[in-house]
Amino acid sequence: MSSSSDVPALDRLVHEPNRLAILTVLSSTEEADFVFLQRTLELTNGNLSSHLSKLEEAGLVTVGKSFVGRRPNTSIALTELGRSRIEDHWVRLDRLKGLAAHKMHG
Amino acid sequence: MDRHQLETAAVRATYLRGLTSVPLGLLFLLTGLGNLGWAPATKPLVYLACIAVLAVAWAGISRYYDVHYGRIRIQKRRQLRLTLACAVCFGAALIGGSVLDFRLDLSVSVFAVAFGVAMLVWSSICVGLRADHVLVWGALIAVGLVPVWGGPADNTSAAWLPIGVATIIAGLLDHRALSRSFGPVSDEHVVV
Repeated sequence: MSSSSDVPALDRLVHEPNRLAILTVLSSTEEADFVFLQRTLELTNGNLSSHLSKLEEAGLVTVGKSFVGRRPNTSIALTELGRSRIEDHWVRLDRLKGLAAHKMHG
Repeated sequence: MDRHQLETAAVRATYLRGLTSVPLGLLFLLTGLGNLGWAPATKPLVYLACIAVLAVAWAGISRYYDVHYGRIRIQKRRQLRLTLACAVCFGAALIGGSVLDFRLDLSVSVFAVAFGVAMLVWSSICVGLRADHVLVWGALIAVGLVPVWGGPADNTSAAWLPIGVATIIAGLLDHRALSRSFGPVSDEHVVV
């Protein structure tokens, strides 16, 4: 039987579904822009901006603004901290899944 | 979306920019026509001018995708793996296929078959095989295996024609898959 200390604690900032999705998509890139994230995750401008602000405040992503030609462009990249936090979070989720499966069969 | 879909979104969005294959397919067709002796395509200046026009078209299409589907730089390690896989697949197909065509002098086109197989392998590495990949590249392989190909020079030279057609069709189907996965183009995504 597993004790409560075996259950991994989840990172609340990362665990929110939209932020988890943003960080997971970014984990396979060096950098992606706002349009790509918006299209991939089907989030509104406001919603995506709000999540990115929270992630930037926590130091998990960097947000850069520039002009490409005459168009404004917002590029987002994971920081080293962000990369390790998302990897760590997926490890914890996998452990939780394992524990749940173990409990169901045991 | 599950974890795998999220982690592969960047590679899928890059690979499925299928309209960029249209100028490439047209270049293959032009090369095939030139190899078969079609007069305009045999003139170096005309050929170079066509390449320049197709390069401009390719740049315009890439810009369209950047604006409407976003800019992505894939993780270096992953990009390196894809580049290596691409080099191995197409290096083997282009060099191996043409060498075998010249050496074996068969009535089939090893070059077309090798190109079709390379595209199937490449597609499965990048985005996973879809039914339309199997259909288009399978059709190219079937065309290559029909024993109607002429002398050894023809096997490779003329093979650029079906390769060009297949490249254009596959590109259009990839673009359709991109629209389905990431949604059709709309103004709300353009300006940030």
